[in-house]
Amino acid sequence: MPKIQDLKRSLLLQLYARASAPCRDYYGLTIAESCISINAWKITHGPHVTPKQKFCPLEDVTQDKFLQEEIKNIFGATILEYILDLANNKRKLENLPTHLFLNVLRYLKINDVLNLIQTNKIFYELCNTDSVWCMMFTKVLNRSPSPDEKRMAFDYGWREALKRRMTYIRKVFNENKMKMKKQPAVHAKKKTIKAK
Amino acid sequence: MPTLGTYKLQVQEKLLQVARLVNKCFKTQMPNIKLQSSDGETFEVDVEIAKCSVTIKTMLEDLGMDDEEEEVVPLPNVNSAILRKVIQWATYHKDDPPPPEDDENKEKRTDDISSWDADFLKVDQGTLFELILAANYLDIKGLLDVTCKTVANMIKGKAPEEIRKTFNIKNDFTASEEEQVRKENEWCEEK
Repeated sequence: MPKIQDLKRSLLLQLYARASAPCRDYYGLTIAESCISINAWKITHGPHVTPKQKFCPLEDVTQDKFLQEEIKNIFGATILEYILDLANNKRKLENLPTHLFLNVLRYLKINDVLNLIQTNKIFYELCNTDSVWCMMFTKVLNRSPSPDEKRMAFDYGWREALKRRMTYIRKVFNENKMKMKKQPAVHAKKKTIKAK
Repeated sequence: MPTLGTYKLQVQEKLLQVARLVNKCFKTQMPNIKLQSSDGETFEVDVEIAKCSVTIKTMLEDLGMDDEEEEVVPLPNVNSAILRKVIQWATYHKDDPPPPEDDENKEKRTDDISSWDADFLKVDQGTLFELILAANYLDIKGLLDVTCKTVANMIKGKAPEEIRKTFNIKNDFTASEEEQVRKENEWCEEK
């Protein structure tokens, strides 16, 4: 029987959503390999309601039609399908355990990861994590991050850190290219001076 | 003077020793081990082949199963269809040198899959992902590497729409969301 600690241990996906208008309720959904948990914070005019957490083993989700409907309404049909596939042991790329998913991404180039992100909302969440981008950072730059870069990643996240780093490198690269183009002209001038 | 009784006992003991010795010789020649899948099917495998799984190897060492006979190793996370594939792979690769240690920063190649492995992994995606899980659970590095590479090759160099088709991914972005995500991910135009 899955316990609440399993949520952290075998975490796959974490999503947040707001109920469609006129409701303003906030929802969080945590999906792990054997269980899910829904956090709901109902916003009311009346007496204040504290946020509630509902913990549910995957087997129970397959039986609970009401819960399925709720997930579908708040988080979308693809998320419900994702949970049901997981419950029925239907293995797919997106429901591989996190470290194995990362293991596959390790073989990809940065462009492939960016393309994968654009396929759907699940991959968008799966690939936009710090563990993915920290791995891509070391891979693209072919070295471990410096303390400065680590600080930047702490402030902005690894994805942004890599983006800034790459923009900077490209800028320097282009400037050098421009210099290289100009330089022959300088040499030519010098030569004419010498000739005189 | 030994009596007939004690003499008999001595002979019996010697015979037992010989029997044990023969048994041991026989075992070192053809040591087999039984693996039981999650759905109850047992597979008899050469110990050396089974030991390419680090999980089984440590299990055998920790439990000292070598001397016991007819020991069955239960593998509750692997079903018979997948276990059969894993054994097939391990049998073919039993004489391979151990895979080199991983270097995190090293460029990972995906084009070095042998033709036998490529043929072996021409399976449906469900089986492929089950194999990744089994290789991870049994701790077979070679199999894990080659299966992950195969999946990576299915993603490499493809546009989002092609990736969706390959893995049967449903696009749940609205048109405006899709446009936004596309813009968000344009920052890397590598040579």
